[in-house]
Amino acid sequence: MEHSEMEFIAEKQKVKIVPNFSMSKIYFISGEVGPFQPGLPTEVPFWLAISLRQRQKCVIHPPDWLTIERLEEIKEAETTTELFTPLPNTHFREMCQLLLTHAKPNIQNADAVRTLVKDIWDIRAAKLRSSSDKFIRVQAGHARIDNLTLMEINIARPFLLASLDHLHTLRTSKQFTKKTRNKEY
Amino acid sequence: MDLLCPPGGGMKQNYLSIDDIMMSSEKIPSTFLVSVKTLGYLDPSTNKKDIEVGSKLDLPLWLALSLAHPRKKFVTVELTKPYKATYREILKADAGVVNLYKLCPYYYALGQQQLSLNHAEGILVARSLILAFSDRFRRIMDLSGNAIGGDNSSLIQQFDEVERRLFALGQKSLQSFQRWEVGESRTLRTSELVSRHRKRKREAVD
Repeated sequence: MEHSEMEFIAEKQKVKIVPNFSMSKIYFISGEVGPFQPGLPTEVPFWLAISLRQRQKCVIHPPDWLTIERLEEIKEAETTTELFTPLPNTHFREMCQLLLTHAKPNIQNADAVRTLVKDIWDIRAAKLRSSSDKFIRVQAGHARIDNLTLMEINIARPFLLASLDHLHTLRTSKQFTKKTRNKEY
Repeated sequence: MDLLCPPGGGMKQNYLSIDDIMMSSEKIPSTFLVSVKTLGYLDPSTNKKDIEVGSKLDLPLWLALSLAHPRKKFVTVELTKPYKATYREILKADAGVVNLYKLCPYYYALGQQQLSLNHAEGILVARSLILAFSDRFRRIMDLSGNAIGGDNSSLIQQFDEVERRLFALGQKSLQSFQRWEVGESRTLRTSELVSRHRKRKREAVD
């Protein structure tokens, strides 16, 4: 899947905005949003928030995990443990990217936040690489990895799947199957 | 890109795949167990009319496979050089530095095909192929996930065809990610087809 498609999926996430206009409820197939009152916070899907923000109709409230303190904590946890730590959102990277592009003025220390997000991402990418290497090297049949975000899965998928497929053809060669068949009889 | 059916992967050969054709024309050293009338011209080393019992010829894999069939055996075949014990030892020592492409562009596939010829060393070859790939995996993954733009031919020159394909897959997903990250995929572009359109546009005519 293209990464822009991942972003599209992530835009279904809800985010809190403070509108500066008034409007009654809007009814969508996926649910209703609003009503909008100036100054009253309300939850809308991300794509709507971005569209309103681009027309200067609202202020986006970044989620409470998008702060330096919270991200420092996550980074700390990520470096200290060997396993993947749960991230606050399965669309972590996409959300950060969208918020940092469209709601930069509403985020405190946006640049430091961006660096932290990138750090966390890189630590996790390195972990993912070394664990898939280990997985292949010990000839394991299955592995369990928790807490990966969708974007990470999407990046690793094409290469890893094809490699495993190749390994599978090597493993199921006639020599091995014949040996097991002899055992059966 | 069809990686799901790599050249001659295992026993599922792919009749129309050009990779498979290339792979199956690799030469296999074979020895004739029967004499063959009037085909002596196939052996450039003699002027005899017939192929005699015991004469050695390099046959392409597709021919060797059917002539060495266990039920009606006309030839015995040898393992090709890159799969023999010496090379297996080299691969075992450090598979990462070996130039597989130089040994054979379709190293894994050709190895697999030869397994069906029932060599005594078959199981060793099969194991060595698996170990070699698991050893090289990390390097292929790291290169394909980090090489940015430019000329990659020096990076992949040690990879065999299947590995090159894996590399290309990893590159594709890296590029897609980078395009997204800089926001390039968000902007709409004119389709290639439209911008190359040769016909005059209506407004140009009016």
